[in-house]
Formats: sequence, structure tokens, C-alpha cells
Amino acid sequence: MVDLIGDGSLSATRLGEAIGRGELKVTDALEACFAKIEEKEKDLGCFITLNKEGAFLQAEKVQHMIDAGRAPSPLAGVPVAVKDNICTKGIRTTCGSKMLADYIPPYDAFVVEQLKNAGCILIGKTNMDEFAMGSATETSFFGSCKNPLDPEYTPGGSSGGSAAAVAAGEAFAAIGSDTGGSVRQPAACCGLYGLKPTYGSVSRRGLIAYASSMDQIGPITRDPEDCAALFSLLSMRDPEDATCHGQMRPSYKQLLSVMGRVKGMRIAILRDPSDGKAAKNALENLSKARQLLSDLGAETEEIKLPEPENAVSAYYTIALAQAASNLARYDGVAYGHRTKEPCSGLKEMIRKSRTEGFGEEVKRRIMLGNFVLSAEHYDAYYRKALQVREGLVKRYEQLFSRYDVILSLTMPALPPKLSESLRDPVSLYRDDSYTCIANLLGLCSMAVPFGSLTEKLPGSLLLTANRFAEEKLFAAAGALAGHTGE
Amino acid sequence: MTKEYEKEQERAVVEQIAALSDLEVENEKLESLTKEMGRMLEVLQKLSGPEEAEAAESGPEPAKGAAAPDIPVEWEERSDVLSAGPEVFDDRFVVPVSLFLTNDMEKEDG
Repeated sequence: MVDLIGDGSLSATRLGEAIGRGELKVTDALEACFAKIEEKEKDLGCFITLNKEGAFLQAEKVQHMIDAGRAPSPLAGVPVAVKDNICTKGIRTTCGSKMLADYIPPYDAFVVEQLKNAGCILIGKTNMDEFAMGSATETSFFGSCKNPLDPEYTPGGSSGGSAAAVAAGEAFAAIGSDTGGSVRQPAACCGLYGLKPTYGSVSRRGLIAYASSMDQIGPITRDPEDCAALFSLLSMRDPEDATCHGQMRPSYKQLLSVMGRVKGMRIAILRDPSDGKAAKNALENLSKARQLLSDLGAETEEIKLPEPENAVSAYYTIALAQAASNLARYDGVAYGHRTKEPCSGLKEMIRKSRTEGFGEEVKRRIMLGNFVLSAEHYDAYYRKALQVREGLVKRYEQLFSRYDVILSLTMPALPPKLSESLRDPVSLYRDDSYTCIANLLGLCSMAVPFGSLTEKLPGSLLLTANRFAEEKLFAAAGALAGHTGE
Repeated sequence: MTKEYEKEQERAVVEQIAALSDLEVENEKLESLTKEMGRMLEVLQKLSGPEEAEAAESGPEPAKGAAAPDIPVEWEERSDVLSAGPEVFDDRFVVPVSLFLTNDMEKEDG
């Protein structure tokens, strides 16, 4: 069993079961993770801050509860990594930025409270694109992160550190945040499951805001059962987040019971909304998945969406506008880095602090956000984007009256190679065309590994369902799970 | 308008927006930033008008050659979960994590 921990093939729920049965100690799992971190971290750069001491202290307490027959959950003792834009009491939370390089939150985010209550062990804070702005984990102030499956490539982003840590065996599961695909894209690049839950199903309290109407926290895991367990744990109503919905959520047991049951399900197949950019072998994976689902009794039908590029444009307009507003608070006075340069007054101090504290990509996005919100351009961009969003809501309501789930690719092709995204950051924007619609409309969506793209890099398919229909995602994901696409 | 003048105008806009964003832009970076912002704005500018969005509300088009199902098929396999009544969901409406908790934990919390 200890070998299974070491080779990275054991899932979080199976580890939890083994710990619960007394076959493994919590410290066995932790030691295995920190051994991997010791071995690989120098090359990969998955973590910004490690919590070794705190993790072993927490492990001791959890082990004591398990030994006393009071295991707080089936995930008790499982080492979990958390993205560095989610607040952790007493542990530095940087958002991948110089602006918050020294920020130590005085409270835990809601999801961190939930993980701790369930007995999960927080091993560290993972690397990410600065303020979650990027698709390659290369805009981090703390250095870029490599894909453990093929180090020539990035692990995707912005939750690239979370996905890379799980894929490298440095953590058994991880938590990320998804504003336009930031959980699903890195999960896809690293051969993992990544869930973007329905907007409002997981509390955002303690998540450092990027685009508040689209940010959502979700799990990145090795198998769909782990994903279901973590989703069930995190998707609890939080009275302190006004956007956290009181809607009934399926339990872990319910999600397990529907997994793989696709008979009679109506599945729409969306082949290529990225204007012919999709790779041939990625599209072959999609065809094989369609065949598999049909063989299992699902009704599949290919659809085309008119003007898919509108979704990307509306998404970026709204996201950047909200980002510009959210990031206005980092002025070196109330929040964030303050310049040490001599300044003639408050305005100069704020300007210098922001110039020093933010990286290039964040600056670009803040400026564009302010541009689309400025009086003379508001109608041409922001108002129009809201109208397009409204139109898309109606269009997708119709779509989901005819279909249970939409199946597409997660990304059109391979993840960016190292430094590629820094050379041409704008070219990556269109790659969000598959994932960003779920954020724009508050839908739930899940990346599922399927087939391969190269000898080392896996393929990934995206399942998207209506709001609060996560059980449909898990039903289809269960059917696709474990298939190599051969 | 000459190209040079247009370029100057664009740079002036970027400088203005930088000032609005409380950011300084170094002169040597201004040109590349202007270019990148121009490309990003191209992405943003793809937005169709609301009239087009409304016109498209008739729903997604089935791809040519793909037969639409005649009768909508119910997802029969999930009926046992969704029609099972409150006993399946029990207390998870408010506290979904409670299924994970042991009685002792609940007592400690409560």
C-alpha cells in the first residue's frame, strides 16, 4: 500500500479508505507527498509556499481522531494542495503576485474551513498565473511551472500549480479557481479531472477576486470519484457569501450512484467552435467518445453554435471590466505592496506601488478593463457584452431543454510550450472558446481525460451541463472514465 | 490621417488609460503595449450587436446530416434519484457535508 502512495496511482478516496481502515497512517501519505516534493519541486515549481510543519501538526490531530474511531470524513488524512488565491489563515497567500507577496490572511476561506473540518491535510499553496490571469502558469511572480507529463510544455493555467502537483504525485488532490477555464484547462493538460461547479454552488468567501460574477472554486483530481467527494464537501451553502445559492446539492453517494449511467441521456456534440484550430487527433478523441456514449445507450447529436467567438469577446470584456474594478483596491495603502521609492504625494505613491506590484499581463488587463468601462467606450463594449451574455443565456436555456449535456474538447490542441504564452499572450485568448461559456452563463462543466494528443500528453474532453446539474456531468464522466480512446 | 498620426493617437489613448489605471508605462514599452492592446481589442470587438444575438435565439442548429431525435428522450436512469423524495437528500439541503460527519462530530459542532 505504501508503494501505491509513492507511485502516484492511488486516488484520494482510496487513500482515505486505507487510512480509515488503519492500513496506512496519515503521516505515511504526508511523507510520500513531501518526498515527491523534495524530488521534483526544483524542476517543476508547483508550489509557492509549503506548509510542512503545519501539515504534520494537523496530521497528528486527525490521526488521533481516526484512532479514536471519530474520522471526520472519508477524506480524513488526505493531503490536499490549495491554489494561492484562496485565503489560508496564517499561511502566506500571494495570488502569484508581488503585490501580495507578504500577505498572510487572518482567516480561512470557506473551502479551506471545509477541507479542515473533513480532516484533509493542507500541504501547501500552489503556483498560479498572477491574479489568475493567464492560461499557462507563466505570469506568476514566483516563476513559471512545468508540466510533469512533458516538461517542454506548461501545465496550462491559471491553476497550473494545482494540476501539476496532483499529476506529479506531490498531492492527492488540489483545489483551484476557474474564471474562464482555469481549473479545467490545467486538468486537461495534466491528464486529470477538473470541475467548474455551477456559479453559486461553492462559496467564494476567501477567494481573492478576479471577475466576481464568474469566479468559482473547483477540485482537480485523479479520478471522478475524488472529484465527486470534494465537490460534495465544498458545495455547501455559506450564509456569508450572498451569491452562494441555497439550491439542493447531490450528495457524494448520489453522485457515485449515477456515475456511468448514460442510458437515455441526450448529449449534444460540439465539434469545433475555435474556427478550425482543433487538432486532428483531438477531434478523433471526440468521435471515439461519442461512439462510446452511443454504445452505452446515450442519444448523441452533433450541433453547431452560431458565432461562438461572441462568447469569448463577451467573456473577456466582462472579465476585464470586473478585474479592473476588483484590482483597484491594491493601492499600497489599504492593500498590497507599497513602493519604497521617495514620492511627492499620495497619487505618485499609489501609481508607483501599482506599477511595481503588478506584472505585465495584469497591467494589460487592468488597462483594457478601464478602457471598456470608460465613458466613451462603455456602450460599445461593456453594455454590448452584457447584451450578448443575455442572448446567450436564452440560447443555452433552449439548448438544455433539448440536451442533458454538451460534449466538446477542453482545449483545441496542445498546451502552450514553455515561454510561448509570454511571447504572444493574446493568441491564447481564443483557446478559451471551449471553456469560458460555462463561466459566462454560470453553468457547471468538467474536464475529463480521454485518449492522448502526443506520446506523453493526454487528450481531454469537456462536459457542460445546465446550472445545478452536476450529477449529469458525473454520469457522463463515469462512462468516459478510464478509457484511453484506443 | 497619416499612419504616424494614427500611431500617436493610439499611444495617447494607451497613456490616458494607464493614467486612469494608476499605472506608469515606460516609454520603451509603450509601443509594444499599444500593439498588444490593439490586438486584444480586436478580440473584444468581435461582439455582434444585440439584434443579432436575439436573432440567434432560435436555438442551436443541428449540423447538416445529423438527424434530430423525433421524440425527446427522458433520462430514465436518473429518475430514481430525483424522484426519491426528501429521505434521500435528508439534511443535505442546508449542510451537505453532514453525510461525512460522524455523530460525535455533529455533537461537537452543535
